[in-house]
Amino acid sequence: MSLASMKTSIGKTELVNPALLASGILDETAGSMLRVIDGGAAGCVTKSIGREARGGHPNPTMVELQCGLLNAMGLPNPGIESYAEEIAEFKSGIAARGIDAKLIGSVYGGDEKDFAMMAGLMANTGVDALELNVSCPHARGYGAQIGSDPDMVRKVVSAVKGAVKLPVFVKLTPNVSNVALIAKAAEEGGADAVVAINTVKAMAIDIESGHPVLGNKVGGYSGPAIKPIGVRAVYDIYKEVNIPIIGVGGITKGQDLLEYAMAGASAVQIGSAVYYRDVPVFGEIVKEAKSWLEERGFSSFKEIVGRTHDI
Amino acid sequence: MTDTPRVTEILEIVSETPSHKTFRFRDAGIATAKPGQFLMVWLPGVDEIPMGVAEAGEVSAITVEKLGDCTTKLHELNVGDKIGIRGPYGNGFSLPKESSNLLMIAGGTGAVPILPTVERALEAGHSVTLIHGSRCEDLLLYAERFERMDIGYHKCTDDGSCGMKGFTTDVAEKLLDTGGYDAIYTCGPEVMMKKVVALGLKHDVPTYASLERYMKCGVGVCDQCSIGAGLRVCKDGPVFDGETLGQVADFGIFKREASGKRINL
Repeated sequence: MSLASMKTSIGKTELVNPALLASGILDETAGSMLRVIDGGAAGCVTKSIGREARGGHPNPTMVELQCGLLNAMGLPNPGIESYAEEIAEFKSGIAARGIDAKLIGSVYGGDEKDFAMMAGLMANTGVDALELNVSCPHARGYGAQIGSDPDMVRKVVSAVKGAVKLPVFVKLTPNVSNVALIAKAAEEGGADAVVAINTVKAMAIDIESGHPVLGNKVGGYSGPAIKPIGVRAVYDIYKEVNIPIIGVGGITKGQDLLEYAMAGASAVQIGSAVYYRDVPVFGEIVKEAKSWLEERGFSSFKEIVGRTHDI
Repeated sequence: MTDTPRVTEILEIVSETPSHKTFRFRDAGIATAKPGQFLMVWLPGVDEIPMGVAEAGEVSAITVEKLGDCTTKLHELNVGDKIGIRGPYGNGFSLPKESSNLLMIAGGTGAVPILPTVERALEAGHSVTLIHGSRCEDLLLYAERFERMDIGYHKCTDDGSCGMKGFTTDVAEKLLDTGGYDAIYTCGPEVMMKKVVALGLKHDVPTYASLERYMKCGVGVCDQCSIGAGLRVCKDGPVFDGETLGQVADFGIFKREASGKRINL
């Protein structure tokens, strides 16, 4: 049995393995992001950061449903100035460990000027790449309202690309009729990669009290229930664009990672799986995928990216 | 699996102090909670906040200090009103296996998780000394219950209105100087706990402290309550040992507001 290399890349961004931490999970503090790296992730995506501090929605902000997690955090973040301290601490932690781990700075904004400004401020903190959150399903005026409009997506990406030199990834919402069309608009705007998918619009009602369970009433669904939705999105996008795709949505085991890769993902992001399998889940998923590849004679992860499109 | 709030009726409300009320309710999940574990209490349409479990069993209880919007609204509830419960969450206090001499130190509302810990320790045959502090006599939560227990009970208040005038840590220092304690369990203001942890390290007595942080998910995912090297107070805690806390730069220094911004304690 030969050894399979798990190295991958998103354009020019080289990763030691395909597993990244998804935005919004364990990424408010430098300590947690370093723990995620120690747990085997190749890199972390930060919480989505804005100009000013934002407390987010009232609790409950996250509950477990039958096959996934329902959340409406509401883009809580301390603002870029305070968050820069966490980034500095993360980077010195990585330097002290002497390892290769990437940090992708997620930003949100209300329009293309906001995004360009935030991208510039985030780039100044020393992150390796940017992720534009044009897809948060439950923060009014931000996120998905931009991400469902191909013209706005093109404008935002192109404004950001004009403002920074870093690779720019665009995180897409599945809550549109044709996600590949939005991906295409991101590519036309100059995106270096797209990330699919963000959470799926969802809701839960407590029938005893009649109240919606979430403080924000409605939110986004993540976890195993949305994996087929994410795989389909990646599959559709792969046929439409030539830039790399980062798959995300319901990955909790090695086989899930491989499924996303065969649909066309060069790397993946993992979030809710932390709830199901705790922090070491990143390394475990990579190990599971590696064993699967080796048992079947593959010599590298990269070989299977987009495989389903070739057979 | 699902883990959404379980709506239950308030069976009894007891005014413990001018600022604390105890709410009793039935919940199969909380019935088996360990001392030091917490639950998330949901007030539909208002908020959901973490609360230490004060009593666990056929009927369980939380004791709520009136502090912010949600706790004020909780204080306005009546018997028969409904609340939602998730949990129990967190690790809770673990008691020694062999019969031991335990020192417990409670400050203010920190008495809540200490109450079931003392009860469980006595059931298990440990001897317990409790140092119990608050601002003034009126706020010495559960004082009558503790007085009825077979424990060494040292009260102290900031204003001297009950027991010794001074801090729990002053009493702790004297007691630890005489020696003989096998472990320390503490819950209260973090600045107090930081001193307790330092005393435990100095006297070489294992110390366990239960921390409080602003919480959101309660299940170790959102990172709101994390301290130090990614320790989640809701999942890895809320109880940490003194040696671990010695490595946590945040401990006794800063916490985080809802946005994640650091605020000094």
